[in-house]
Amino acid sequence: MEGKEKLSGNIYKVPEEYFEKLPGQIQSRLPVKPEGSSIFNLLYLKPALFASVVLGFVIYGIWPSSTPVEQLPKIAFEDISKEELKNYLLYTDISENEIIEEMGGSFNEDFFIDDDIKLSTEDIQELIDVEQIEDYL
Amino acid sequence: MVVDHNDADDLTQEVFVKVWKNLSNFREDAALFTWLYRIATNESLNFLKKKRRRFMLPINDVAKELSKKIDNDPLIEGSEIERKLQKVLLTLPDRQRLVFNMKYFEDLPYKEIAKILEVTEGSLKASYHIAVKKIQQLLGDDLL
Repeated sequence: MEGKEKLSGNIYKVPEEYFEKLPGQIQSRLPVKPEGSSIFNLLYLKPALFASVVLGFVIYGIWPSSTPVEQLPKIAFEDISKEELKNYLLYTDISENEIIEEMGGSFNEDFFIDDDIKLSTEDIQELIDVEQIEDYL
Repeated sequence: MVVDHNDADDLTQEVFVKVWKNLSNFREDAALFTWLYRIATNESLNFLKKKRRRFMLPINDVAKELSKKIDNDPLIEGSEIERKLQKVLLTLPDRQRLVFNMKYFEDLPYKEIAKILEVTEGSLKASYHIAVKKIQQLLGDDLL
């Protein structure tokens, strides 16, 4: 093959202005970055907190607290936007117990042993960063 | 590799979308060029495989269809012999054609092709040698 004139493989042409338009076309195919506070992120980032809040809402709805509804403060949940509520729950230090108590329920460990949020020992080991815990021991 | 401009355009866009999505997986031990080239070659090979599977076409039918395109597509130029070479190349298995393209047209060293395709240099040399022999049989010794 040496010494012979090399044939070109570049016989394919592109339409005019193809490369000028290409970046825009690629850009339009890129997925839109999901918003940080979407409900899916909430589920993913804080599963235990989210589960307990949902559980709290359900419990509140089914078994009203001993406090009569008419005696509750005027500021009702419907006055707070969902976004504000989500942001509050995401960034506050409030514990699950406090949320449930605030909502008029009482903390009962049995609530967390539910089919929907049952965790095996392996699950827990996977979720816990052992090295981080060792720092505290 | 895919001959048709629309297919090539689709694949080009797909490659860049994949690159964007997987940028965090890019390991710096590989050159960006190698990584991009690998995504592009994998996409092209998968595209051709899917095309054959979708239409349940044997390799020869796809080659025939693409050969016709080489003759009739206004976006394909080149001399008669260059077109003829492209048509002969279509009769080779995809991976062999890819190796030939990278070595003969792109002039990439075996070492680089081996990195891109994640195969040994020895198998590449064998693949290229077989491809050249087949082309010479079909076109004559004088051309390559």
